[in-house]
Order: sequence, then structure tokens, then C-alpha cells
Amino acid sequence: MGRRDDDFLDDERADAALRRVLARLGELDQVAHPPDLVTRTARRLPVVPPAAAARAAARSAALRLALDLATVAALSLVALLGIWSALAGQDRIAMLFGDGGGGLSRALLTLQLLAKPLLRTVGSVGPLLLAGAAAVAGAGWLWWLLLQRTPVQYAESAQ
Amino acid sequence: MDQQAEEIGWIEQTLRGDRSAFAQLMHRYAGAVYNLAYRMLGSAEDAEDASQEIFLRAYTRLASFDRGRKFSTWLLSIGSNYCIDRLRRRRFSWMTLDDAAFALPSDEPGPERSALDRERRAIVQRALQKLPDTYRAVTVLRYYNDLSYEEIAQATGLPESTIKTRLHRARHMLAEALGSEGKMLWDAETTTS
Repeated sequence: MGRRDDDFLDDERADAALRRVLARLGELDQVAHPPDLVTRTARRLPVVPPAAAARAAARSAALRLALDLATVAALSLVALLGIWSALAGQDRIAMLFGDGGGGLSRALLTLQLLAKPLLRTVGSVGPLLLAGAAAVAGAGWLWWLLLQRTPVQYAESAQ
Repeated sequence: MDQQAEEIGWIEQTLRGDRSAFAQLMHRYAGAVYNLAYRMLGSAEDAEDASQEIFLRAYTRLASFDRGRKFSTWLLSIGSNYCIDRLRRRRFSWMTLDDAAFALPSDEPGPERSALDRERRAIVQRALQKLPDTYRAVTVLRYYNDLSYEEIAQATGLPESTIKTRLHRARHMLAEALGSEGKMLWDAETTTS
């Protein structure tokens, strides 16, 4: 047994009725597309066949992802090394790989030096402020998420 | 040669690198894609831009097209997904729905079209724009692109029962959004049918 609306119409009748209403309003007439739409789109098509274009698109997406991951990894490394060096007290980690004058030892030392201001900042603002910032960021993220999922009509009526 | 066989031929040629074959497909479906985008996005400018993007996406994904399916359904599924994504991004531009309605292009008023007709069309467009994105997509596919429940299910990847539920709710929302004039027409249709 089918669902019925308030007027005891079944879905099929309501479907046909809406189609007739739209037709009477002239709504079902096709809107003419710009005459040069196909020509202009054809000019934008990749010069390579679709499979090659898809591979190229996948490659550039992978490259973007790799760049993002590399950035996050670099920042994480700086932060971790900073924390580690602060906990260890000195530049012991860098000195494990040399005298700090070159190579890996120098690179680690540079990373540690980069991380120190970050660590000092974190230390000076205090854990409470950090927790507050994390809460604001979390609330902002939640707001973004909820807003994205809110149907347009509700967003409109709330304004 | 039937339409589907002809389209498969064009697809094969495109996959071999013949872009003019894809242009044939675009010529065939430019109207359907443009109208889908226009009804979903509510502006001619956006619809034009979206149509180009939809065809570009279809081109790069053509190798994954399942020959057992209808090309039109596959293309419209790319189109409806793209439009929904675009609407979600647009929500952060803070454009109100009234703005969206005013942004609708005029219908090139000619002597054959009365001011009343234009007003009615604007009312319907505004009502359509008030539907949630996913409801609007199934409504446009059903009534403007004339797809069956099964085809909409294929295009959206949703079960037919969900499509029917969304259409059922969308019809109620549309009837409410159409206001008194639309309701009169609606009532007249439903009582005479």
C-alpha cells in the first residue's frame, strides 16, 4: 500500500499533477543554452585522449596531496624536534650525527633553532590559553560542518 | 543505427583521441546539461560555467563509463553531483535566496509572453531554489530532465525508495513555496485528476 498525502493522493497522481502544474506554468520548456557553449567547451578539452587526461589529473591530484603531506610532515618534524630538544635540554640529538657544522647534524640543529621560538611561544601563553584556542578552533570547525549540512531553506529562514 | 549505438561509437572514437566525436556528444546533450545546471544553480552565468565543467569532467572520466548504462544518465549523474558540490561551496558566499532569485536572467520578454507568465515562472524558480540541494536534484532530474525513478537512482546512487521519499517531500515543499497562486493551480490539478 502506497503512502498518501493529506489529500489522500497517491504519489503517482501527485507526480502527474505537479508535472501538469509545471507544464501550465511553462516551466517545462527548455531554457536555450548559449549557442557557442559546445564550441567554447570543445576548446577547453584536454588535447590528450580521456584516459591520458584522467591519468594527468590523477597525477596532479597526487602531487598536491604529496605537497600537503610534506608540508604537514615538515611542520610536525620542526615541532617534534623542538619539544625533544627542550626535553633533552641541549642539542644532543643534532650532535649525535656530527658537530653541527654540516650535513644531517647541521640540518637538525637548524630545525631545532626554528622550533625554539614556537616552543617558547607555546610555553609563554600557557596551557589554558592553548586549551581556549583549541576550543575556539573546534567550535569553528563544528559550525562549518553544521552550516555545510544545513539545507538552504533553513539557512534562509534563519537570516 | 539507434541512439545508444551511435553514442557508443562516439565514445570509442573519443577514447582513441578524436575530440570531434566528443563534440557530437556535447551537441546532443548541451541542452539537457545546461537546463539541469540552470534549474539547480538558478542563474544563466553559473549554468554556463557549470555545463562546461560537467562536460570536462565527463571527458576525463569517459574511460570509466560503463557501456551497459545510458550515457545520458551517466552524464546527468556527473552534472547533478557537480551542481550539489557547487551549491555547497556557494553557501559560504552569503548570497541570500532572494539575491539568487533576482540573479535569475530575464526570459527575454517577447510579445508572446505576458508579464504574468514571467512572474509565475519567477515564483516557480524561487520555490525550486528554496528546496534543499539533494531534493532539488531529484526534482530537476524527474520533472525537467524527465528521468524515471530507476534512472534517477542510477544517477544519484540512491535506492529508488529514497528517491520516491525525497520527491514526495519535495512536492510538498514546492506546493508550500509556490504560495497561494501556485496552490490554486496545484489544487485545481489534483482535484481534477
